[in-house]
Amino acid sequence: MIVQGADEAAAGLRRAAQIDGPLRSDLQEVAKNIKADYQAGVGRVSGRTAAGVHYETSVTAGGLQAVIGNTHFVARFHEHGTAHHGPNPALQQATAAHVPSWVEQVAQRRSR
Amino acid sequence: MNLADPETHFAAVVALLADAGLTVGEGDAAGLSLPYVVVYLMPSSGPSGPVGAYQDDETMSFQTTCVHRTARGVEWVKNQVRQVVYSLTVTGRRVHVTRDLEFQTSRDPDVEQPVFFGGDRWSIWSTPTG
Repeated sequence: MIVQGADEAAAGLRRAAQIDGPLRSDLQEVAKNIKADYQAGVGRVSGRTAAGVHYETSVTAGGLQAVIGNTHFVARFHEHGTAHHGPNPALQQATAAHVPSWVEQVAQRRSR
Repeated sequence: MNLADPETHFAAVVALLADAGLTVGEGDAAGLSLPYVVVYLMPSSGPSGPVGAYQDDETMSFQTTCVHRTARGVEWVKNQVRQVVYSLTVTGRRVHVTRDLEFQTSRDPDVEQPVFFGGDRWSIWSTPTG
């Protein structure tokens, strides 16, 4: 049996493996930097909100994924505010500061 | 250069919501009667125009926090806001509004009287007309 396009598919997989390894390292670095900025951006009274910041990276069917969040329940009230207090979008700002450079890194890896 | 003024865009959002009959707070909920919506201007992501006119285009961000006595009431206010925000216009600018995220309706933990809040975060991309 001859499978047409198998060579191209194999080459594509080899290329994907060459790209995804470094990309995952890049993504972990980006997530680590977002975490650090997020921790610096939240207010410090008890320190529990800053301590609750965490991240994880994984490979999903849709590609590489980084999840950055907070396990302390008050974090969402800081980020979005409440009925009477305005938002302190520390996570949004930390993400906005690092995502553009991540997009650039992906573009560079893919153009090599 | 034809810079986008975040204050002008913010004022246009507030006016739009007030025209729709909603009680609107401009970055402050003090003294408002339920139900109400508070509009917060968020940090801008900066200019994003084409080469040669980089400063002309800008994406601004704002949040609408909707407050009512019940969770269902909050959903009603959120829906009212969504019905009108997409029709935003700013004199001398072409704008495109997108809803970036919704934060879930929940009870305000700061107050004894049951008050619920929830809302959306929005982006306005703005470029000069003509």
